[in-house]
Parts: sequence; structure tokens; C-alpha cells
Amino acid sequence: MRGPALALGISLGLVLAAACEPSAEDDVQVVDLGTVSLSDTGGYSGALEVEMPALTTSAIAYCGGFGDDALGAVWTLTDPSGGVVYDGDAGDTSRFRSDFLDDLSPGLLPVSPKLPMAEGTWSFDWFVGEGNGGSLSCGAVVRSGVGDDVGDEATVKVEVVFVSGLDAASAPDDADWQTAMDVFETAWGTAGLSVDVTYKDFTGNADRFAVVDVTDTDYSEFNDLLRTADPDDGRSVTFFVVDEIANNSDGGATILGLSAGPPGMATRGRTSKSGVIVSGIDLRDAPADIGKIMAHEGGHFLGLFHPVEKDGAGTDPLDDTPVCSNDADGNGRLDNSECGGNGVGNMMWWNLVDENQTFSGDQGWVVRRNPVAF
Amino acid sequence: MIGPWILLFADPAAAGELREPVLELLSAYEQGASAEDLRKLGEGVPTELIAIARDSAVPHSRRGRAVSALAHYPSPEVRTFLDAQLVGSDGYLQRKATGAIVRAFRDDALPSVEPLLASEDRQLRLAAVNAVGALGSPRAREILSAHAASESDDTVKEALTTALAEGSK
Repeated sequence: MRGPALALGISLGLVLAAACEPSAEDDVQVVDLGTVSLSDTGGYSGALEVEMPALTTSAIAYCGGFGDDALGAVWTLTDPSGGVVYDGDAGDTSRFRSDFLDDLSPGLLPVSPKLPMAEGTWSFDWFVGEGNGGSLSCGAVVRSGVGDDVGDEATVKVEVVFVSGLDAASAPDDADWQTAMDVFETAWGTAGLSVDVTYKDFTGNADRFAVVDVTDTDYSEFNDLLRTADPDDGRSVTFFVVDEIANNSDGGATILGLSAGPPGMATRGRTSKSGVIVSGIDLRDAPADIGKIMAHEGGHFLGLFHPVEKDGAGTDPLDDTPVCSNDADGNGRLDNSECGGNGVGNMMWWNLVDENQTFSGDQGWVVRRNPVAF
Repeated sequence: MIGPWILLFADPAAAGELREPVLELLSAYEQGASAEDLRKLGEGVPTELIAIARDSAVPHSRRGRAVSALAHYPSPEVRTFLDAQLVGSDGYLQRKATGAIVRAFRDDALPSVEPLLASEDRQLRLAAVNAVGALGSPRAREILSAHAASESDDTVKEALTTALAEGSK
């Protein structure tokens, strides 16, 4: 009986391995949109056209290389019918959203079922502020082959890079780390995502990045760590685990985690938006919290926003996420006690809570369509 | 001096009614607790922050954020607590106290923080450089300049160079 059992094991292994690879028709292509000159004092890129073929699932158009001191965002988005579907001057984020980001601005489609992909020519126009160096390098990543037939389940490859604390060899057997991963995978599972994880040791300057120092206006160290992201499989999300991220504009206060973006620069390594950084300081005290931080920040990377910001200003472009407005005590803040049944239970709520948080149906719809998923 | 004594040795399990709202502010994924948000919680916040900082049942990051948030309350009681943290054995909380005490007491905190520039813990030295550098005062620059020659770690040296350059602008 050993022969057949072994054969069954091998074939099952092959099936499982195949299930963790994108199908041949679900493919990602990179399109070069060239270099654009603009005034160093700030300006628009002009309309850059991206041709979306039939059966396009999603795309990230981007302009970057404008440096850590300049800020840019998609300012105008036009769909294949010629209609302006997003206008930065109007500030309507009900279907698309692009916040100002330094160095590289990715524009992800779709970030809402209300603006699904459509075959044809989409046009992006970026605005980049002063200090941009005078030129932008632009391109697009297009996921195509299966169109909107994504289904209710998808896989995301996750590469965890340990800058400090654990290492790739010890992580699989570390009980606390596995608790974190269980929580992370359970949370992402509520969005229909399965996680295929690999571990890697950091080969860069660990002394510099063990504590990632940022300020409210300078994320260069954060960006520099993300620029080292170089996953073995480009269709992966890189999570860096550091001791902590410290905000020196806030007396060095710890930031639990930060994602590039949102959205992150999925499928492209070695950019300032190529991953997520997680403070690992709580690994021994509260390993489940590490998993929640990964789930939340990973959600940002894949194109999710807070359903509503802490101060009630700004909402995500989704219809089914809870938008609490019950500032009952009038303190200008949406507290957990005020939004207990209407927000706190969502994984993208602004703070980390003890209860298990989940993703909404629309949030799952968005993340399963991201170019990094398959 | 009874106040500081009570704060230092209070039972951390004796959580007050502010425990939950303060912890909530300390649990935001991407932001620390702002002075404005804390102020809106009313009186008693610094006492609660100290209790949280001392409570080993609270996750480390939240304890650290509590220490950082004490920067918004420059009272003698807070100074006593932060001075005690600076000489504690928890390197992470030492770093948070370094940032908080300089932010709260500015040049008056320098005598407490200057010895940390010679710590064996490079992350603590780095935190001290960042905190003192952010002050930008003549005395702060003087201290950093005096330390620059003896610093051997590349990352800390770079931070020193940056701090001194920014302070000279």
C-alpha cells in the first residue's frame, strides 16, 4: 500500500502546488508609459492613455520618481467612453480615490464595484507638486485574462522579510509568530483571500532599519526600506517586520504599521510603494495584534481605505462598509463605544480592537481583483 | 512629594474609568494619540497614561505610546515618572521616555537625556540624538556636537550629522 499512498501524496502535492500559481490566462503585463517632463514647481502630467484589453480584471497606472519631498496624485481619470469619472478638483471619492503620496503615485482600478473595469482606453492625468525634479517615469500594470470572473476566492502570495527579531528559519516554528499568521490568515479569509507565505531574511542594513524613523513630512526611511523589496515572485506582497516604526514628529511614538499607498505598488518591487512595514514590538506580548496589523495594513496595500476616518471626515468608495457618524459626545472623534455595531467590527476600522474584525463583501471584491491576487 | 510617589507605585490593575478611552486612542493603527484628543477626555489622563505605561498586561506598543503621550503633560509628576523610565531596564520604554521628556521639558530635560548619548544601546543613542536634535536649541546643538566625535555607529553618526545640519538652518 505504500506505493499508491506515496503516489497519491505526490499527485495531491502537485495539485496543491498548482492551486497556488496563477492560471496561464490570468496574467499581469507591464506597460511603459514613458517619461513626462513637467515644471519643478509643480504641474500636470497631461493625459496618459492605458489600453485595457478584453478581459481586463484590474490595473495600476503609476507615475513616479518625483522624490520623497514631492507629493503627487491622480487628478483626472477618464473612462473609455470619454467620461470624466474622477476629478480631483471636485473631490468626489465615491468611485475612485487617489490621495497625495510622495515619490510615486499608483492609481488602482477598481477600488469600488461602482467603477468596474471596462475594455478600451483609460486616461490618467497626475498632478505633482513642487520639488518633483522635473520629470516623471510612468507605466501601468494590467491584470487580464479572466476579466471579472474572479470568483469568491483568491490567493495572495506574501513574502515576510524579517529585519529584526525573528528570521526565516525560526519563524515557521515560532508559536507566537504562527499565532500572528493564524489571525492574519483568518482575517484575510473573510475577504476570500488565501495566503501563500514565504519567509526571507533581510540582507540590507538591518542596523538602519530595525527602527524605521519617520516624521509627518519625511517618510524617506520608510520608502528606502520598501525600495529593498525584491520578492522572488513579483506577484507578491512584501511585509517587512521591524522592531518598530517611530514617528519623530510625535516624540518617537510608535506606529503599529504602515502600508505603502493606499494603494501599494502591487507586482512591482524596488519602489517606494512596494510593500508594508509592521512594528513587531508586540510579538511576544500580543502576537494576535501583529496578525491584525498585517491584515489591516495589507488591506490598505490592496486598495482599501478606512470606511470612515477617525474624525468622521472622508469615507471609502464602497457602499457596504459601515460609515458611522454617531459622534454622540461631540468630541470630534468616532469612538468605539459610539460605533460598536456600525464600524468597529470592520478590519479597516481606524483602531485595533480585541474583537475579531472582518472585511465587507465589497472590500473582498476589491482585494480579490488586485493585480497581485490570482 | 507624595504625588510622584503614588504615581510610581500605584497598582496598575487599578484601572480608572479613563482606561478604555485612553487605550482606544493608543490603539490607532497609524497614528499616535494627539494632545487634542487626549485633552478632550478631561482630567486624569496623565495618571491613566502612567498606569498603562506601567501595566505589563498591556501590549508593549500601547505602553510605549502611553509614555510618548505623556509629552503632552509637562508636570512634576510626569517628569518624575519619565526620569525613572530613562534609567529602567526596558530599552523600548527608555526610547519612548527619551522622546517624551525632551518634548515635554525641552532644554530642562537635557541633563537627564545627555547620558543616554553614551549608552551601549545604539537604538537608545539614536533615539536620544533624534530627540535632542528636534529641539534645535543652542544647548542641544552643543551637546550633539560634543558627542559627535565619539560616536562610532554609522547610523547614529548619520543622524547626528543630519540633526546638526538641520539645526544650523
